[in-house]
Amino acid sequence: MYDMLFQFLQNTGFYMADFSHILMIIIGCIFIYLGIAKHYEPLLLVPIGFGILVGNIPVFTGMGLSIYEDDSVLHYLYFGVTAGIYPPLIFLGIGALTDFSTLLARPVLMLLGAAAQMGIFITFLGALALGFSPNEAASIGIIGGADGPTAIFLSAKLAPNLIGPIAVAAYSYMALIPVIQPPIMKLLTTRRERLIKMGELREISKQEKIFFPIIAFLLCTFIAPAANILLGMLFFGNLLKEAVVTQRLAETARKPIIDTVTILLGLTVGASTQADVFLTRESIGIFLLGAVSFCIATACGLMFAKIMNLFLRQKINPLLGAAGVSAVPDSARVVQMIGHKEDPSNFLLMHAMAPNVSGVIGSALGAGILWSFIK
Amino acid sequence: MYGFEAVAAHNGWSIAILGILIVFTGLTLLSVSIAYFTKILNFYNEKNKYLKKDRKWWQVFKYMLIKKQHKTNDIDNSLTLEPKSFDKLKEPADQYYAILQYLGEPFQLPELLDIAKKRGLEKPHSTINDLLLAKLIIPHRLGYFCWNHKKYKQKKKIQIKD
Amino acid sequence: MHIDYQKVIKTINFFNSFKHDEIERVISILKIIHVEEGKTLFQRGHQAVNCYIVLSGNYMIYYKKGQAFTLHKPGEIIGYTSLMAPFYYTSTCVSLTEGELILLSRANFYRLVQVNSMLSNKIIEEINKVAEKRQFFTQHMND
Repeated sequence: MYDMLFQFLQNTGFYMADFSHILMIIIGCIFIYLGIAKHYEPLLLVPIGFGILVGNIPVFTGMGLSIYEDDSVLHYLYFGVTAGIYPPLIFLGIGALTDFSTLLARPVLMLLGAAAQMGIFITFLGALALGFSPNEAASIGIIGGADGPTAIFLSAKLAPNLIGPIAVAAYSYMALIPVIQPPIMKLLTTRRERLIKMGELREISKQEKIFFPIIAFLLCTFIAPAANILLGMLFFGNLLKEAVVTQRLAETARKPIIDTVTILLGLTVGASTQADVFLTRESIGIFLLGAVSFCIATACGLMFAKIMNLFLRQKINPLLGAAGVSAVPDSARVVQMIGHKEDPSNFLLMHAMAPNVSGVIGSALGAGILWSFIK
Repeated sequence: MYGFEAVAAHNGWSIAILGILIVFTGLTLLSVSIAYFTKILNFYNEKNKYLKKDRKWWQVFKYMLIKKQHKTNDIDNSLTLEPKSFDKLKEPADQYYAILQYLGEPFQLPELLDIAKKRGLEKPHSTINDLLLAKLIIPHRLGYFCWNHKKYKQKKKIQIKD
Repeated sequence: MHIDYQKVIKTINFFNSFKHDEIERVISILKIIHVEEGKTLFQRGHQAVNCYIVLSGNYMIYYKKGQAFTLHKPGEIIGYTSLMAPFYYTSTCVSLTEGELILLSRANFYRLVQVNSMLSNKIIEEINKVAEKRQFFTQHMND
């Protein structure tokens, strides 16, 4: 009997835990705290945080408990991440949520979304320079797109071993957008530029809103076929939203589907983030590069907006360039906040949504391009 | 391998430059397509209008016959609760006046509320509201309040006469 | 009890410039709540998560040093810093009487920003008119 008791005690988490488990559990708790107490992207950080707790409980191998064991429940749920199923479903929901009318009203603002995606490729170069392989560098670079599903999708295809730290880095920095962007925005723009008022936007007809997803999908995927699945789901969701006859499907896409997938994605990505992958020099490199990529993306968007103003008759407020970072609608909200501080009668929120949603298209396109070059 | 050597070895420069160019080209083409598509759509819709031009005069005539009424609801925003009569407020007014002898004027409204709660006065929130509506408590300056002594004395005199 | 939101919304000055279909969309993100006398709606310094529009009742808003003002009319906005900087409540709000308020949560508002950015812009513009008027009065209240 004592042998059995001793054996049981040896099988408990208390006996098997080491420093790395405890540290990861603390990190998981920090994520949960940031999500609940500080309201930093709670819909993502809470599942990821709890997933980290789940994935870092010390367990026996061979009992089908770890996420990396073939017959475990977590492994089956994780399949949606590794096979790249969850991100396109999230994009379906995002498409069903997103209103592209501000983009249609002033298509030139799309270029700000394109400019912000330079952050992806510059970070890609930085990652290569730091010694990461091309696959890993591409997966790290996509963090600069500030698009969690895209980052997870590309990592799953190119560097599945880095999904955990990349996802955590991407979502953490997305939550920190209100902290990262304002200093860069103030540094790279003058007060006079920040006071530029945007003109009234024209009304967009229902016809335009229905044709846009079809045209955009065909054009973008003909240019980069590898972006087919992400952009396909995004524009399909948008078509469901705009075609009034499919409202029921759009409602399903933007509520139950996106919420279910977010739960499973967050939990399994968190669970896959284990000490041997997370507490490494590479992770520190990923986090550093992630921060750099956000800063570069913001700066590129801002600078491009200033360059555009040299050629445009109707000037645009360069703050909109920062909204090219595709964290929808957080970066648009930051633009509104900074613009509002300078001039309370300047409403940039609506205008900032244009580069914001264009950034989503741009980051998916960037991911497709990197995937086709690297694979 | 690190640094520029690593970048060059993995064709990093070409991938990055081509990638940026393709993203830009793609979104530029999309932007131009949308801009022109809007014009095509407008032309198509205008074309239908021209084809139905013989019906246009009838539509205009019909429109003039049926006048659209765009009545905006003139909402009465001056709606306030009717202030209570002084009879009903006499006792609370006296109680709060007594508190103000202690607080001094001008006073902080939340402080008055706190003291009223501590002294166990009944329904302090709605009573203060009644006193505000009856203009026995009036705004002073910069968010402070004071007692309307003139009105209070007037009402008391009327009460005594009655 | 079924609340006719359309009828209720139409009585509010705030929504005067909104078209019928816009009001329909807005209704989907609003909630009507009932408050008792003496309820603290929010406290100064806390994260601003909800914005309120008065339907009925009387409310007191007070600041750090005890300066206060009171709201008695329907259509008044309370807690607008949930939708604009600084995103935390700069004052405490207490209901002086029983009343009803329209609640607009920040999360729902930002969902609307994604789904219909022009309508959300309209809401922010209306709220800003109120904020501008009140800013003159309140800018030094928390110093």
